[in-house]
Order: sequence, then structure tokens, then C-alpha cells
Amino acid sequence: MSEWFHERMPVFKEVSNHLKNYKAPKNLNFWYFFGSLALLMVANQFITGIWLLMYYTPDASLAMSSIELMMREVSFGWLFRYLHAGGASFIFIVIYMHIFRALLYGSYRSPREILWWTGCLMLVVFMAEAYTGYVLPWGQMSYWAARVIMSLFKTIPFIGDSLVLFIQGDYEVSEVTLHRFFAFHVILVPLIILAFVGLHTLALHAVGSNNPDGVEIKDNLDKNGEPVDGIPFHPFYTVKDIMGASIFLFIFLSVVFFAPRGWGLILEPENFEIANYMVTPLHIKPSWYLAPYYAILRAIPSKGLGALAMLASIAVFALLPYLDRSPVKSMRYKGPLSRIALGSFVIAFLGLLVVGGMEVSPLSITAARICSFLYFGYFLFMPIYTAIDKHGVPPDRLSL
Amino acid sequence: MSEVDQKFKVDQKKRRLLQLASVWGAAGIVGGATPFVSSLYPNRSTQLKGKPIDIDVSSMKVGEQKTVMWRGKPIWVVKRDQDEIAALPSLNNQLRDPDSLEPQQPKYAQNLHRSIKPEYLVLIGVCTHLGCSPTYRPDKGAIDESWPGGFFCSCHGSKFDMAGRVFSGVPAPTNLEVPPYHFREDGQLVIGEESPNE
Amino acid sequence: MIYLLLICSFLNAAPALDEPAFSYFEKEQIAAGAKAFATTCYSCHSMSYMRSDPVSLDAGINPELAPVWDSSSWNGHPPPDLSLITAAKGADFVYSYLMSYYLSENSPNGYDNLVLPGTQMPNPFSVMQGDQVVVVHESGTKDNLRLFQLLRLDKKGSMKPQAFDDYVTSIVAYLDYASDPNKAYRHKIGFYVLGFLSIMILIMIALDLAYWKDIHGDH
Repeated sequence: MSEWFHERMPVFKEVSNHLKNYKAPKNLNFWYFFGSLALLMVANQFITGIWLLMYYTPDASLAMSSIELMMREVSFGWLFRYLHAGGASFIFIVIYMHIFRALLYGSYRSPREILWWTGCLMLVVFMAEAYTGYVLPWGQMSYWAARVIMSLFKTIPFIGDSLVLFIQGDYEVSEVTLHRFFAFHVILVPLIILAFVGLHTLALHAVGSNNPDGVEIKDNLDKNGEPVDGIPFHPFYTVKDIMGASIFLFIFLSVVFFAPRGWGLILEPENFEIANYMVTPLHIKPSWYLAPYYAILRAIPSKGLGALAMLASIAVFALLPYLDRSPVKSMRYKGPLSRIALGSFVIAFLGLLVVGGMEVSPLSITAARICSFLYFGYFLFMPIYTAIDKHGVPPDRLSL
Repeated sequence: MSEVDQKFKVDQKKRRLLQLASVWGAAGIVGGATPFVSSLYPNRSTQLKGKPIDIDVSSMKVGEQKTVMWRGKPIWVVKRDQDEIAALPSLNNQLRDPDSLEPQQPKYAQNLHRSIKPEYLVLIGVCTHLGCSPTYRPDKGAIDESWPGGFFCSCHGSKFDMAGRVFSGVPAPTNLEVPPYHFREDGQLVIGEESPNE
Repeated sequence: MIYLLLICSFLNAAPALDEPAFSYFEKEQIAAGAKAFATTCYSCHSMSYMRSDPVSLDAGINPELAPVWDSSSWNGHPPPDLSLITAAKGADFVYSYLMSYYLSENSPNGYDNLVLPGTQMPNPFSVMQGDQVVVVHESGTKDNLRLFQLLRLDKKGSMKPQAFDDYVTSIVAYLDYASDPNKAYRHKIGFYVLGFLSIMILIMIALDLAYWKDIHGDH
């Protein structure tokens, strides 16, 4: 009977067979959990988002009250709110770990350039989703963060001012903006995310996954044409990923149930006050996951150049396939210069993250400048240090 | 142990673990889905709006109809006169369900006058055909020559008598529904809940 | 001299806040705070998000009785809704604020507040708490002088100091409850959720090891 169905709608059988046939390297480690975890968190945002949609009203006077009333009057309403807000922060933790894996093992190198670029674009799309979502409660931070980011767009030469008028729908951020950000956040950007998830997966399955040795498993085929160091994705990585998801969920849900405001990082105190268009909060800061880029923006004294630096700090990731001149892909076989460079990049990123949430002061600006230099240095000096660096010899067969 | 035996043991272990994981995981999915499903039930504020309501009938005149909204439906209270109540049995052979055998009313309304007190008729003002709200037409001959007084639904022509009982030969299949209600000691009519003393 | 509070102020530094002694599990304290809120605060401050909350309704915080202010009243700063005040400002801040009124001749209402100087809110506790005054206290050596502003109870109120403290603490407990009424329930089921997941993790690790044994002797 299932034959009857599969004859007429083959896609389900095709996907199932593909999962059993698709070969992944057998040595994937801790850093390889974060792709499937990202998918899990995207599903979380979709499902909790739909349930929130049943109660949220995108009107300036009703936005915050609809959320707060849902949290009090709807059975488990508080759970959907905390899962969604916490989920946004955890999605960025997962994404940053996922990107770090690529930096560690050279997953951006040929033949995975397109895979890498779909990922880079997805990072920007997720930032847009998070930003438009953060505006929706229409608290003080929601409104003033919208104001600040819109003023950033104004720095774009020639088209800046008109572009902002078109995005805002009003002469200044207002409830008109709220309503269209609602449309962007709920359907436009999620559809783009879904499309990118599809493209990203297709790009991955076309070339196959990289691995911690940076050695292509397809270079070593057995007499059936299958990679000798490859194992079927199902059941090995399906089981492993479910195990990883269980551990991750333990961490995520312990925050959602016991510290849902995230010590001020997930739900900021200032955002519990309703937006006041005439009173600016003493300390406007972005969500922690956007803080590094905000720090880079503030590090440059010029408004236009600062915005350009902020844009460059994300765009520069796309150049990695061409910046990395090392003969080996994986950090396991790269030399001390590459290791120091990656280490300093991580420290710089974390430093920028911390500084981006701090108030402007001589100390914080100096720290931001040093960290920005290290951040960009990782990329811009890479053609040099990867070329001259010592390197080991990766093995022919994967080491577990 | 032979290799085959060893492999069998390993397979058994895997199978057991897989079964255990599936059962525990299924329980987790059910537990995880519960908040999402239970949240769909009317929330606390909606339930508050659906609480029983009081109606003061003491100043009602004979022939008067009061309409109030309860849980999104119109509730009618009609004060009937004795002649109307006495005339009810004479209509029985024209009705689909003269003895109110269909479950359209609580048991204290399963009588001739379909109410607790004969003079007060309490009905849900929703036609049992497709849901329009019929009109109260107490005057004899108002709809046609033989019209004895009752409720007429202009959507598709269904007719109900002064106890809300449906006439034969009309689209509506059952008598108009009687909501749960009771009279409090002070005479107030409470729509939405049966008497707490029972 | 009765030292009720030690609120230290170093020049223009922010006041050190006191922590109120309450727990989100103490239902009686929250209910008492709700009643205190209904009598002392509800005439000016609304509590709109608690419109169907059983604890609030029982205490008499009825949405029909909620104060409604025009946005231009009170010099443009009408009393805010307090449903989320402890989330926005912190329970410590709210508690310390409520305990820190002191006599001030120059203030329009006769009282100023050490935690929020120049506050527009009149002192609702002058009868219960009594009157506090600010005393400047010096400490340290001549080269390293530190100035502290302390509050001292000058005139006794109708409540003993500890009873008044409990009264304000119960109000803060209720406000904290109002900003997150499901906290106790959430913590309760959180334990079960994490307990369930712990078992799931153990089963999955065992399953993972069982499968990966095939891949050249374990992972």
C-alpha cells in the first residue's frame, strides 16, 4: 500500500533514502552539532512564533499589553513568550558556534564557497529577523533601537534618507513602522530564512561535509564509489544529533524555566517600560548578539565610516575562501601564527561583545578600537600569515 | 561466545535502547505538546466574560421580550400570559417534537411550557436550522392566518411556538435550545448555571 | 535615634539599594501585599495586567475601580501603571524607594526621596512610617574623607518600624508577583522538565555509544 503512495508522491521516500545513503565523515566532533541545533531552534522560533501570533496585536497601544496579558491569562502563555525570546538569544549562540567551527576547520574553503556564502547571507537575514522581532513589544528599547538603526541607514550616500522614509513609512519611527516590521518579522523574513535553509542544505549535500582533519573523504573511494571514511548519515548522525539536541535542550530549558529574563540579556529591564517617543533611555544598547557590530560602529569617530566599518565587519566573512592561503584546511594542521590569529579573533569578538553593551567612555572606546583592529586583522592579514605559517601534513585517512 | 552470538547480543541491546528511547521520547513529545494544545482553550479572561449573568425580571410586563448576550449568543426571556400557556397543548399535532424528547433543554425544562416557571420562557435565540436569530412574533395571525404566536425565522421560514417548539414542515429540525438557568431566592434570573442547590 | 535604613551616597553616586526579604513562594505575603496595594496605592496607580488575576481580584484590585489619568495631568507625569515596575526597575529599587522618603522643606509635597531625588510622587506612608530626616555622616581620615547620607526616623509613625518594613515588603512582594505571576508554577514544573531531560540524555548517550561502537571501536 505504501508503494501505491510512493509511486504517486516519491519525495518522501527519496528524502528517506537520501538520508540513509548520504555519507558523512566518520570523525565529526562536538563542533558539528550546531548545524542541526540551529535547525531545531529555527523550528522552535516558528512554532512558538505561531502561538504568539494568536495573541499579539501589532498596534502601538496594544502591543505590550497583548503580550503581557497573554502571559497572565492564556494557559502557558508565559512559556511561549520565554521560549521565543530565549530562543532568539540561543539561536545566536548556536550560530556563532557554528561559524567558529567553519573558521576552525576551513569549512569555507573550496569546494564549499557557495555553502559558506549562503551561510553568510543567513547570518544577515537572522539579524534582520531578530531586529524586527525586538521592535514588536514596543518597549523603550524596542522603539529607540529602531530609531538608532534607522538613522544608521540614513548614512548610506545618496539614497539613505529616501530609503529610510520607505522603510519607516513615516517621517520618524512610529506605529506605521511597527506594523510593517510585524509583517517583515512574521512572514517576509521567515520565508527568506526557509529558502536559505533549503539552499544551505542543498549546497551542503552537493559537496558533502568537511571534517576536523580538513581532508576530503571523496578523495578516497572504495570499489563501489563510496568514500571509505564516510558513514551513512542515518542512523549514525541522526542518533548523535538527537543526543546533542537533548543536552542542548537541557541547557536552553533551564534558562527558560529558571532565568527567563536572562539576567537582563534576554529581556532587558528597560524594555518593560512602554515606548516613550520623547524620552530617550539613559543607556541605549542593542541585544547582546548585535553588540559586537555596534561596538565596531562606535569605535570609528565618523558616522559614515563607522556604519561602513560595521557593514564591512560582516561582509568580510564572505572573503574568507580567498583570504586563506594555507595549503591545509584544518587548524589541526596549521601552524602557530594561524592559531594565534584565530585566538585573537575570538578574544576580539568577545571583547567587542562586552564593550558593545557598555556605556561610551574613554576606556570602552579604546578597548573597542583595539578589539576592532584585532577583529579585522584576523581577516586582512590572513593572506600573509597563512602563506608563511608552518603547517603539518594532514593524513590520507581520517583520524578519529 | 561466537561472533554471531556476540553480534546478536549487541543488536538486542541496541533494539532495547532504541525502544526505550522511543517510548521516553514519545512521552516527551506528548508532554511538550500539552502546553500548546491546552493554550487553545478559552483563556481566563474569556472564561470570566462567559460567567453566569443576572437578569432582573421583576419589572417585566406580560408579552415583553428581554434579550441579553451570554457567551456570544442572544438569550431571550419572554413573559407569557396564561392563555398562551393554556393553548400550548392544542398545537401538539402540528409540531415535530411536542414533548421535547430531543436533548435541547435541561430536564427542568422538559415539560409542557419548557421552563422552570410557566410564565417566564428562557431560550437561546438561535434557529436550530442554520443559526440565524428568529424574530419574536406574539400576535396571532402575524405571519399567516393560522399563526398562533411564537418565533419566526425569516432566513428560511422556520416557525417555533410560544414554548420554542418547532413546527413540522419547516427546515429547522429541533426545538429552540433552553440554556442552563435558575431563579435565585431574591427572584433574580441567573442565566448560565443550574441551581446550586440541586 | 532609630536607624531604619543605611543608604549610603558617595557624592553623586547612586544609592546602595537594600534588598527586601520576600520569596515568590510565600503566597500569604503576596496576598497581604495585594491588600496593602489595594488600600494604599490603588487610588493612584493602576494594575491593568492583573485584571483577571484571582489574588488581585480577591484583594479588591478590581479593574472597574482602576484610576484613569489624563496624560496631561500631574504636570504631564501621571502615576504610572505598576504591573511591570519591578521588572523595569528591580525589586530592590522599588523597595528602597518606598522606604526612603524624608522630610524636606523645599519639596512641594514636603517630602523628598533619597533614591529618586525630586520625585513627584507624594509620600503615601507619612502616617504609617512617621517622618525620616537626612543626616550626613562623616567617616574615614582627613585625607580620605567619605560622606554618607543616612536616614533617621525623627517622628514615630502609627506602625512600629519592623511592622512597617513588613508592610512595604509585602507590597513589593505583590508587585514582583504582578510582574511575573507564574514564577512559582514555572519553577515547579521546570524541575520535572529538567528531570525528564536528564533521563533522556542518559538514554541517548547509551544509544549513541551502542551505535558508534560499530565505527571502529567506539567514538
